[in-house]
Amino acid sequence: MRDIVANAWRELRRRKLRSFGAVGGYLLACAFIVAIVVMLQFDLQSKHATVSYMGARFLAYQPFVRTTDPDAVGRPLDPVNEGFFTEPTVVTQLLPKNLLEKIAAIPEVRAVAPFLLYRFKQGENGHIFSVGAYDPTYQNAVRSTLVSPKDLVSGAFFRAGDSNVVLVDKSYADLWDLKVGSVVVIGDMLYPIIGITASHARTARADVYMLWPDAVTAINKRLGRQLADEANIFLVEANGIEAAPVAMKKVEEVLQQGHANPVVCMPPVVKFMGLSHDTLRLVLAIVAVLTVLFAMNSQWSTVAERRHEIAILKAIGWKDASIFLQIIAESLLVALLGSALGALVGYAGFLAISTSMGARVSLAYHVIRVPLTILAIMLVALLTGILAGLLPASRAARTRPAEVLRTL
Amino acid sequence: MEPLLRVEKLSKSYHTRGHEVKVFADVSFAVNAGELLLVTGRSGVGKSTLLGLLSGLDRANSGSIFFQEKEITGLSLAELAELRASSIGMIFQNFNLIPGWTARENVEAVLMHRGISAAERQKRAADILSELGLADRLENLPAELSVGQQQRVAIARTLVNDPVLILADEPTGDVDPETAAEIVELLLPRVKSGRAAMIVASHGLFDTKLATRVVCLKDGSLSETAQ
Repeated sequence: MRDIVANAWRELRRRKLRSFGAVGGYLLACAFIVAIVVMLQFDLQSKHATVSYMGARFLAYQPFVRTTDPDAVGRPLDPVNEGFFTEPTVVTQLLPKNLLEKIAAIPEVRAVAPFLLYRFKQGENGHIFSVGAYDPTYQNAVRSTLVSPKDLVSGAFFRAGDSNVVLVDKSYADLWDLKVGSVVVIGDMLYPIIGITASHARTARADVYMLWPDAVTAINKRLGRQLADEANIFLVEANGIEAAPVAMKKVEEVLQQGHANPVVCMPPVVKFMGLSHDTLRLVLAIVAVLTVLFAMNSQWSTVAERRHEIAILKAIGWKDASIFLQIIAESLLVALLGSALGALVGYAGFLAISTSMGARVSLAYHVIRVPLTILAIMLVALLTGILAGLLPASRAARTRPAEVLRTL
Repeated sequence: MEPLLRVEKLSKSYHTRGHEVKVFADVSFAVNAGELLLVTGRSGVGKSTLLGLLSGLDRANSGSIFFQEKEITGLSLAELAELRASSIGMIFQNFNLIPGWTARENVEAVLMHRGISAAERQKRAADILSELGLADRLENLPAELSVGQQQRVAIARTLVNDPVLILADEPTGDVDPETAAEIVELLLPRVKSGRAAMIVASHGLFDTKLATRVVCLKDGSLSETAQ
């Protein structure tokens, strides 16, 4: 085996220009494939993470249109402007908070939290804004679906023992020029702002966030009846995007005439991701076929050029198998060198592209995913090398030395 | 004593464009170790073809070749290759050295793929090249050697596996008389010592006095000529 590799290496060095061309072909193909695959994998992984993050979370509620009972919506004092709702403008019924236990028991549900979202009107001629009741008891669900300390733009988040303080969404704060330390009027009370939160795309959002007991107190002043242990929305996180549709269906069943809204439109995104996968496969297949053809052509020409030498080797006792293995080894060596160099160039290309785009690629991706991808691509390149060498090697092994040497 | 090589009723013909071209038919002869058989004849009569059949590079249409009393006409290509690698040495008219390989590598090529270590191969190649006066030319490519040196590399390649049968196709055909004499001088001792037999195909430039026997290939048949 060492002889075969040594001979293959010598042949590559001997035919520098041709070897440079053959290795260069693999280099370009592999660099292109590595850069594209690593980039698209990163892109798909990011999309999948985003879709999973958004698509695995949803709101569950009962729309008001499905009841005629005014108690079901708490009898708002100003039902035209105020009331329990969900985005964008769906009036919702109040639901007993203990439904939470039934929802939490669904296997496809990872976390659930009650939520109150109430629309207030500020004064006689004032503006309309929303207040969300934040319950820190259910942090697992609310930090991913509603708001968390990570969303803070300025100020501080709710702390244990806080009371009668609020957080304000940045878009609302910008609209009314509110800052940390400013106050907002809710009902007839003034509440100091302790923090401004970023206006991320979340499953649920409110203009103003209050702690649950404060929110209940403020809302009760605007209702014809006191809130019992009720919520108008449940914030649900499913066990991943694949489990989300089942979880939504089961939650709707628990709420009876309920409705589960994933907020983001995940099916089209998933469909586009599928399109990306298909495009990736098609591009790779085309590049792989072209590489095989190119390498085969190159190797075929090499064998044709060396017909005389191959005849000599056979005349001095080399077996067909030795000749065959020799040509395959040369083809493999070209593929190995080209793919290794191509992998380096492709990875450098990925780094350049991802850096210029400002993409934040995790260390794990660099250390695990990229090497595995490169290894897989190099294995495919080696397989390509074998495939490309098969016909020329077979032709070389079948050289009839008597005939070739006689015609010289 | 059994002959080293025995040929019985060997026939060879080619088929070209539907026509059969007969090269020779029913050729029979035998060669013993220590003999130099000179095959003469005009260009194109089939001398090289005959050597091709004896070395197993080509197949006969009919007849048998016995090498060391074993019939080789029915051997597989791999077995014939093994036979060439282990027992038969070949010298070609135009040396047939591999241009991109050094003198040492050209000689070493015969020993490759035979389970001989690289160190052993290199030593054997270097030893025989040194014996032939090329100790300082081991790492030179054929193009960097004179014609005479190239021929000595070819001889070294022939002798490195210690063959018992040497087949030489016009070994002195392309060289000047001095180089031709030198080639013969290098090969003959091996034959005369009885360690090997040699069959030389030549169209007339080889000194017939050096041969043990001379046969002539003419009109498809072989006849022994008186010396």
